[in-house]
Amino acid sequence: MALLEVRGISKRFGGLVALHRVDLAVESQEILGLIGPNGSGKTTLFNVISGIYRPEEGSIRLAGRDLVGLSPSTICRAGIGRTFQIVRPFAKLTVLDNVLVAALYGQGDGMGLPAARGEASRWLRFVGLADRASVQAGSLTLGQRKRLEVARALATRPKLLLLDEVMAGLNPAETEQAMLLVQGLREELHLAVIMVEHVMMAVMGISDRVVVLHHGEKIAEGKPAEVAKNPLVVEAYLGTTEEHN
Amino acid sequence: MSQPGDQTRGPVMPAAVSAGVLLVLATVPIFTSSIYLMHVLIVSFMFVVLAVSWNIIGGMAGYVSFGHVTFFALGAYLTAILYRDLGASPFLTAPLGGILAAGLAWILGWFTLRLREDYFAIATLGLAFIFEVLAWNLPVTGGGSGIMLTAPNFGIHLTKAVFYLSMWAVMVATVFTSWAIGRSRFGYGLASIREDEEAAEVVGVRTARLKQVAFVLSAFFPGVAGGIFSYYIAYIEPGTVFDHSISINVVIMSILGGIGTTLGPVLGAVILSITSEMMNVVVVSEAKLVVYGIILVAAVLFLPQGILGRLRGAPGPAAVAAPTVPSRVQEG
Amino acid sequence: MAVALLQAVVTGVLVGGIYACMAVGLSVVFGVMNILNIAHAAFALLSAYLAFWAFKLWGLDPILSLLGTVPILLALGAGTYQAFIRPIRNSPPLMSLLLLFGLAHILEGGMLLLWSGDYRSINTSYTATSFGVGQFTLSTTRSIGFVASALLVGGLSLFLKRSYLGKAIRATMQEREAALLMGVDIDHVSRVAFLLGIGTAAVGGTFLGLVYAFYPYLHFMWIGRLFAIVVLGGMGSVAGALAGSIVLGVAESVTASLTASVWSELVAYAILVLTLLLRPSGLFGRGR
Repeated sequence: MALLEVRGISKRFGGLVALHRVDLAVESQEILGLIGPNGSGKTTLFNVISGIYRPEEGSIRLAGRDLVGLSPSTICRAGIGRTFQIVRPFAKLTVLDNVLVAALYGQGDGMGLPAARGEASRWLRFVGLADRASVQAGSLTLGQRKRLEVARALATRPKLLLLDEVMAGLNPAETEQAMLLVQGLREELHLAVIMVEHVMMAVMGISDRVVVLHHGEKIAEGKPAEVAKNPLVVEAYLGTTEEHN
Repeated sequence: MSQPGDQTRGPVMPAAVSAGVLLVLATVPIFTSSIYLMHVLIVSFMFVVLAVSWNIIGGMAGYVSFGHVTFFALGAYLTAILYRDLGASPFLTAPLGGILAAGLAWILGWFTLRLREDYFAIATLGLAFIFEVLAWNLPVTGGGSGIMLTAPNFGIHLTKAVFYLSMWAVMVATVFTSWAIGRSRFGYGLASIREDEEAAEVVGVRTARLKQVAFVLSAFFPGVAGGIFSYYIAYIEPGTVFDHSISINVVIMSILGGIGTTLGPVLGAVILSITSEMMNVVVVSEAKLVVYGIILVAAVLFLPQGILGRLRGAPGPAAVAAPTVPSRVQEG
Repeated sequence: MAVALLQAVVTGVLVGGIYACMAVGLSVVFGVMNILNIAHAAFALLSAYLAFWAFKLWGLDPILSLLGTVPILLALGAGTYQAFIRPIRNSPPLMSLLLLFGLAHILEGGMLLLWSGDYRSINTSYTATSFGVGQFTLSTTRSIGFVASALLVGGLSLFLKRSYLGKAIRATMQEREAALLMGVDIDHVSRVAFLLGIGTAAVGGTFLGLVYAFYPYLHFMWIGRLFAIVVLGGMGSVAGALAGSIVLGVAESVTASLTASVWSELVAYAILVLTLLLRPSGLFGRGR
């Protein structure tokens, strides 16, 4: 049984079909790339998995546990963490406090403040933000905010991490660092990861498998090299002169 | 008293100093028998209770209520009715007033806390008006004639000093609760809700439950204060007790002093109470509305972090006017 | 009995109609700028006071004084937009609500200081008159107000549908991002929308002043009704504002005729709170 099993997920907004019968499976400690042109439904899928949207049909199981209909906070505690495409730090709190909130609540109600502070510091060190711990989160650079998002998600001790365009807007050096970070998640923390990315070099470079969405449907799946050669995928990207957004 | 959201260096009022000030205040009745001074202080204490309690839901959790007066009025009416019909003692009924208010907050919160922040404000305002109309028209409240609490006698002679100490006690309880929240896990949860509720959910914060608790706590203390108040002025009717300027005042006090902290609303309440007293002497009472309005407008435009925020070097208005993150994540 | 009830309905429709133009203005402002103008009724009340004084001092009929009142209020509105609304237009909606709440108090306090808390009413030659249509009695002032409001709403709808600026406004109401991308000057559109709102308040206020006695605190009662209407009808929907106005007017009127008139005050707030609690997007709204 895979760690995450998504079966037949459909999501509609009024007349607009954002997702149509999407199937997906992620094994534990696997890095799955999720790609597709703009508007193909990638972030919507993340929102459905993390509980922000409720799908009209389909099921989502994490280690066998059914997640559809649960609140986002319950899903987080069940073991799914996520970052947002447009970063959402708790702007007026310090960098440390941002992660502290996640450490306090992300695993259940038993966390005490001192232990949680220790956890928070640890995750800041992991993403390389320890020196900015007492700075207001709103004043970080974009790259730093992205790392903060990751630290915050990690502090909830997820089994599966959903990364939404974590590399968008980064310069090449930062992108390198981000790729190492993501690999570190698997190597050192033994997490499974689903990455939504447009930076092809990154996603093809470190994913074990790739899933391609187009117009809310899965059109391809497989190893990066195979998917890159798939004519449907090529057409989906190149045929993108009309369009989405 | 550093709390989540207190991102500042600079003057911080150590807890010991605050405790000292509070203790000194308790001794005032020993040194003076000035009715006027005690009255001013009682009213000031009451506003501290109202502002600090409001701040728990409005400042810490970010759910600004425009109807805070409802809980105060509820406490006042419950105690007055229980006195009129049962001759009950205030020491019993004031806490009951708090419990009733808290219970109502639980029920109302269940429905209203799901709303968007400004809709929540309007809903609470609407509820305040509904309760006011009920108070004017239901037989049990005495309608427009109100309820007289004539010469109650419960063994303890109810002197000014007794009221003073009672209100002082409620104030201390309120301030202490707020302070404790501010440094607790609960307080961090509230701060995260205020900053970005959806992001908070996603890191495991049970936002619905935390908001409920905050709302209930914010309602309890005004309820008790209302109960004491009704005995203090000995006659309540809808106009005095459902004074909607109370609702706007607590918002102004918290914003002015520094929303989200414990010291902020205290500061705001003290400043505004004193200013109000001075205005009573200097300025016509009609002008108060204009002054309050100007303060609120100015606070939003220039002091969104409050006086406390400015003193502590928080960023000015430019930083706050930055576009907010959309609550609907973009379709990817 | 049935006739009395129907009479109440007729009266309700007329009064609802007067609220309609102000409600439409409020809804447009929300649709374009995403802010709840809680000072809307205070502006309307100001219009009533201006009409009152024009009548009292110069014998000017309120309908005529609109020629002066509307420009004055528009100028005030333009100043308000520039000084207060524009600086915070990108802040969270709560901030603008707080600011407008403060503004409403400034206006109320100003009116109280200038003109005291005495009840005022505008007693023209036709104020207390009415005429009969079939079995029903229609109050003259309510009817005039209804017609004026209907004309204004009609004109507004035409403007929104036909003119370029009107289309820009509608586009912004429906899809802000897209409008931005298409080169719509959101600031300009916002200003126009705000001024349209003030204009509707000016007209509606004068007519409400003809129909009811007023005093400074009253704007809170009016805004309660207006919010009830736009929330019920759905924020940002013109059709919704119209539907909501009629529903509220009739509900209030019928309640007043069936029970003591005191309970009719409750109707607006009850509708407001219940709609918010049960169906915040209202009947036709965009759902938030």
